[in-house]
Amino acid sequence: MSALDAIGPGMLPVLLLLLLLHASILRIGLGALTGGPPTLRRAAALAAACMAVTLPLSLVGGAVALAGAAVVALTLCVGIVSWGTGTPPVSAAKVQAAWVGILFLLAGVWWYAGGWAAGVLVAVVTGVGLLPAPMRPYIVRKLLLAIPLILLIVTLIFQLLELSPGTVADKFFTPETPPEVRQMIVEKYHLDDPAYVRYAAMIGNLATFDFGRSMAQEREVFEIIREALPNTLLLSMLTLMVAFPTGILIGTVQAVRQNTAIDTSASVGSLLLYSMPGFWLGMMLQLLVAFYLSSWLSDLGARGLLSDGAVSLLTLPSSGMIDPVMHDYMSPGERIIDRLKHLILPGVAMGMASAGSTARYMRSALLEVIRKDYIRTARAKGLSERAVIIKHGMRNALLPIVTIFGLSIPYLFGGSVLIEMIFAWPGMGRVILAAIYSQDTPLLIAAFYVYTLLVVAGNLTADVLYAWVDPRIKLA
Amino acid sequence: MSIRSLVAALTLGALASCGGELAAEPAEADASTTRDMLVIGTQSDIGVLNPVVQETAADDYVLQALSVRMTGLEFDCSLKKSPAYAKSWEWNDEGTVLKVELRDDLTWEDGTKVTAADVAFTYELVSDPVVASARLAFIERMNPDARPRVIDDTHIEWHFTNAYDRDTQMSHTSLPLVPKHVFADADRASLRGHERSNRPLSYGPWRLETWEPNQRLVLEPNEHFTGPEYMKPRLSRIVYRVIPEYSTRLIELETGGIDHMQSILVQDADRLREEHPEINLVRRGWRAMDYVAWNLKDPLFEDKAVRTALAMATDVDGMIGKLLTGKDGEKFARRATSTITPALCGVHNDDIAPIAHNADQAKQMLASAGWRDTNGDGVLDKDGKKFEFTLSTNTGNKRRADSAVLLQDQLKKVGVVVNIEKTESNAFFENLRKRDYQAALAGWVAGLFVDPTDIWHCEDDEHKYEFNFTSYCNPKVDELIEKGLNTPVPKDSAPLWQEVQQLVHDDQPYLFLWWMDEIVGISDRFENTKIDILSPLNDLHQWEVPEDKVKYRK
Repeated sequence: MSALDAIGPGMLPVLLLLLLLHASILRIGLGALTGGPPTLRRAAALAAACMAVTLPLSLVGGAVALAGAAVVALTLCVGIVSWGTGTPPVSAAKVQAAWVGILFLLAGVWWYAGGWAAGVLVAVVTGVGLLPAPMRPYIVRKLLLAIPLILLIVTLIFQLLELSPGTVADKFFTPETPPEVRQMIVEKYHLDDPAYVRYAAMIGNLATFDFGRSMAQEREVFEIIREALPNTLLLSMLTLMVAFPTGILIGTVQAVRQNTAIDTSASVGSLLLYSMPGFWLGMMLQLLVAFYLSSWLSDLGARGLLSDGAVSLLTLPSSGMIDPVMHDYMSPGERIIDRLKHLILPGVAMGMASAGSTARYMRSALLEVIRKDYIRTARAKGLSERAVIIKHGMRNALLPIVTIFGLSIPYLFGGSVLIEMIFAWPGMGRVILAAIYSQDTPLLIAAFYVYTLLVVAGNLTADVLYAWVDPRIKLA
Repeated sequence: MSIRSLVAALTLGALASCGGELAAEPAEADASTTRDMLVIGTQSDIGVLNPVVQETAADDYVLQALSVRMTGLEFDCSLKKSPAYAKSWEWNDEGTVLKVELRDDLTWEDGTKVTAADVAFTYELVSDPVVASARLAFIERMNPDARPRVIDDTHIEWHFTNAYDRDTQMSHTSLPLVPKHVFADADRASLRGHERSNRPLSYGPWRLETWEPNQRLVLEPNEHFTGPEYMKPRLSRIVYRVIPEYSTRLIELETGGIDHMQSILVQDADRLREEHPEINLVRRGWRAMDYVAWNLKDPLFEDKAVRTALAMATDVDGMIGKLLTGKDGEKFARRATSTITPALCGVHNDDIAPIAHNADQAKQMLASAGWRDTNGDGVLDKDGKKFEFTLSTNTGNKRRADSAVLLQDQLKKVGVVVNIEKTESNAFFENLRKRDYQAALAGWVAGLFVDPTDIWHCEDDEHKYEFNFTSYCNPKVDELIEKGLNTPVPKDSAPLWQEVQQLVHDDQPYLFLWWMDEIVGISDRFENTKIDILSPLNDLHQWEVPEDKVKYRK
């Protein structure tokens, strides 16, 4: 079995295990703190202590990520630059190694940040008293307020569907269909019942989380959502994972090098990305990749620099989640790389706009922080510029980013209809669009219900995180 | 510092390992795996794979692959049938009884024999009102106790209440089958959601291997197929890829991601011909038409002369030249003169001359009907009212949007003001159904049977014909339609249909625009393909790829 196949199936469980380890250490440690009143400083101290335990593992993760990046860059640069060695200098194996490197890079970022976040979340959720006292009634109040909000939104959707023309029975409207069939459908789904009767039935079902069956597909709504949601989550998580760190990095560089050429060009660039319609960017990327990239690669292949296997591994697919023909015949390692390849284009199309806006937020936040007195104090203390920016500057500048992150959580689940359409990604966006066209009320109501719950959760998380991280904020 | 050296060490290690192979290149294909795969790009996912409740044409193509049709079908001016599941068939002299002898060697995937009981059960489900089958129209003229009557495992009889067109009778009795032993105890009210409606049992050359909703559908040869040898597949796999966006599908076709794509636009066909000679472009035949429906209840369009004048004022040939003609002059549309497709060559009335474009004569005709420009503002008026109307069409169709603009421009030249309104499809069809429009630019997909009832028959309090959008009523036409529907022999009914077409064309309830050809792109490595007006994916079992051109090896 090749090294790649050994890595493939083994990697995910290993990473999950490390995540669990990280979270449990944090939890156990915080549990030991039940004595005195919990404060942020204590929590931070404890987290640091936990990090000291898991630090070696974190370092390995980071190092592997860096190594992965190095492998990718060196393979492409060194491989392509060298000429005429008889065999293609860039073989399929080298390209595979490059993909594995990217995989480790992404996994490393996810593992490190995700492990940290999950650990904190676990601690908060298990109610170890990490939250300051005034926050608990605040959270409870917010949750209670969420109920009328959800009710309002569900009612609004119901009304909109009532007002829009047509019903699910319209599918049967073809010249060959007898009108009796339409009537039968109307009776079957109680479409003739007065609006308040159907409304009451819907509310009753939602209260018991009975999503019912889709009218158009006659399958369980839960099942339909269960199939589509993970696909959307996968794409959105990758997008966030790429967009946020990139944006933060660019924003920081811009702030530190304010008013230089780097700052100006990055500003123009991020504004351009931010203003660009995502679907147009997606289509342009498809064109670039499908025509220019693949013809460049086959040209390199014809000149003997890339083996055929390498060309196919480097060719990015224009649509879909997996290779529709060969995926079933691939080894587990190859399958992971196949999935990764398919994530790149839609992820970049979706992420670029977010990266652009995050960069702008980060830049202005950091610029504001840099002018503060405590930064001057830190410099006066003799700390290196890097320590000043990272330890003191960025931490405070990240506050608005934290809020934005919390507000992005609903976006994770809704999916982007346009990107999903263009890249043929079978996610929630397309499900909702199809449900709208076929007037599939149960599916729509269920999808928007879940979506609303998540928006509420996201907003709440953003509020709580912000208040927790910034002791100056007093929750009313 | 320690971090840096750690990174350096790892990088060196990575470089050092660059020499070795991490994975072997693909193994040599052996002789048994040299059958190729076909990748089809479709716009939407399948709806449901149950012939009793199936809805879209796309579902039908997949079902045909998973079953053995009652008869093999060829289209040559009309449907020509050859034995398939039905070994032989004959009518009685009156044409009211159809006796069919079936093959006895077909089995379902799970080994159960396919028998006449399955045929009877399939039609029993269709007839059950609780199922709400769209195929209810098929059994309307069948005797309730003989639809069909099972004589024994391989003999059935269909009894009709009256004799009508035999081709239609055959089609009504040729539904693909559902397995009785699977659906006998199924909940008939939710047949669409039944597990076997989405992952059906096959009795045909192919079986359903995978269905990933909204993503792909995979068919593989059915190892348990017991039918004739010539039906055994010559490809190793068929993959349907669901790609909703047209431009993405086109990119995939050009880069080889898919091998088969329907409904290619004319301007893209031009480009493909130049840049991609490895893609064959096949014309499927006159499948769909566009027209402008006049709401005959609107006072503006009550007068036949006015309608004819408007048709005269429109340069339909010019529109075809602009919208549906290739760069080299190849026309992908022809003038329409009725709702019967020219592909039905025996029935289509070729003698009807399309109305020639003549703006001057149109103005004269309008003037005779009382429409003149009395106040010199360039717009015709009568009794103080301007000749102005709203032309509605649906969104998302560029050809119709462009046609509407061209129409607006041409009618302006004769002094008629047209306001274009684009509405979302569902809303648009709702308006048509409710007759809430003045003029509408819409279309039909060709039926391969003649039954103009739903579009042209007079309505009364008892009988409503929802598709008669124009509220057209001509008793002579009704008489001919009823006569034609009850004439069993197509040769005899043809003159009746031709007269119907002439009468309708004279009355001009529509401004007949054109019949369009559908362009299908298929990779040229495939041989023995069958892309025609019946289906873009006919007889998939005979499609094959020669050894030296195989692209996908297992």
